[in-house]
Amino acid sequence: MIHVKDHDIVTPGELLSDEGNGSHGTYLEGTKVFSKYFGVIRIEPKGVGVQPLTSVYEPMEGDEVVGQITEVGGKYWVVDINAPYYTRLDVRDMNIRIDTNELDKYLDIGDLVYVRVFKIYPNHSADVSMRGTRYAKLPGRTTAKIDIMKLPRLIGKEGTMINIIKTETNCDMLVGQNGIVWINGEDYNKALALAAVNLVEKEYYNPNLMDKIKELLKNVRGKV
Amino acid sequence: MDNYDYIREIAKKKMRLDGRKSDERRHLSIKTGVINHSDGSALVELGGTKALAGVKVLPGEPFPDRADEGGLIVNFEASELANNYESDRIMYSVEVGRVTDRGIRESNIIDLKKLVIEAGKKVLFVYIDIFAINNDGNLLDVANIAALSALVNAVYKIEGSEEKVPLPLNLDKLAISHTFVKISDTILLDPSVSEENAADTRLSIAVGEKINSMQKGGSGFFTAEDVDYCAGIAFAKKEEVKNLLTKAVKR
Repeated sequence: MIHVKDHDIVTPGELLSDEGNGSHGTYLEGTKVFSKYFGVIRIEPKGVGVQPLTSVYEPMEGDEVVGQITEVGGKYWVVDINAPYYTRLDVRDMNIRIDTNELDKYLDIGDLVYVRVFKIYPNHSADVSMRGTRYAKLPGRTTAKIDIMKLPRLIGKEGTMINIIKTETNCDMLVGQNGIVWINGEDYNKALALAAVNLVEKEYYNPNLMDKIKELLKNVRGKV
Repeated sequence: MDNYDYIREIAKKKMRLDGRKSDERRHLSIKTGVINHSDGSALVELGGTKALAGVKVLPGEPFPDRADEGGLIVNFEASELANNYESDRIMYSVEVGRVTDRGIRESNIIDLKKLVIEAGKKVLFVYIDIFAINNDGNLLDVANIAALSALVNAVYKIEGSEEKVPLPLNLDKLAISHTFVKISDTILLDPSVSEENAADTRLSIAVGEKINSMQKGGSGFFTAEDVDYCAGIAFAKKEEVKNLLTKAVKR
């Protein structure tokens, strides 16, 4: 017997079902299925699953992420990509030939980069690469943080939400798959874009989020 | 990724990341009586910053140099788990405890002479324990408000008597702490954690009827005019907090 309905909100340890049909986000005790996370119930043909409401970024091979240089080493940089593990960018993974004596001439501590995760080691640490035309150092140092579970909300259907924020605030924005959003533009416009991202983070559950964002961008703009 | 440069840049135009005015506090909420087994307790939230304070009144031997006074002991603890990000680590957790202690002690809100049971032998000690649950900046103010709320909330029993009595407090002397930071020559009240990271210097003023205590941190400086300005804001804003505190706390 399944004790919950689709889209119910459950807490960790809550009894979901007696049939042993748990899928992701659940654990079993005998035939009883319990929730592992604070999240939303997803009932699927294969069983009961829980999608957590918040989550920590776990790097995966192929992810395109925004990171910040935190350390300059002998032949590599250490990059903070919002993951709980150590991440490196090797000099060999750059498009240009690098003079290893002056690594900080290319990327210095605090600089933002758009990179791809290309290798995960067994201890979960990752190597990132800047090989390719899509990846580069990002100008400016303004970022916003958003939970990765809320990223789909920020991007919207086919990018509608993020495009509205971009055009209304006149900012360049880049959403990394690690929940770091790079924002570049004029000071005032950046503040607007940041406010919009923070609103998504706060009201991600709201079905009328798009209207709220439009209202926010219109109101603040009216004050100038 | 704490937007260091950006915060310093917009501070020149008196702008803040969360859209507040330079002398605006975040939303403050106070809940009291949250711990059953303490004599008094309070959970204070200021924006995202949360602190829990508990008061316990216990008998003990007085300090040798103060035979006719009870004791006040303030203890502050900040777990590493309180920080959202590694870079937000509280570098001054000992300072928070000491500043909170000084703010309460110097305001004379609690009459330690009335805590004596038997002079020289047995007095009451008031222990205030404050725990930072979440650090989103400005723990100094949150710890102060939490400690005061818990003190006002406290009722204790003396051994051998069933009657519960409140602490001997003079509520007119509530000294509320106000913390300011100076970023690119702009003074901001109630800094968030990213503003604390970007700040040149920090000043805490606890004001009751007069200025009770002050604490400066960081490597920058305040001019005399800056301090006057801060004190002015602190006196203007203190009633707001005081009203909220007296309303939230049932004695």
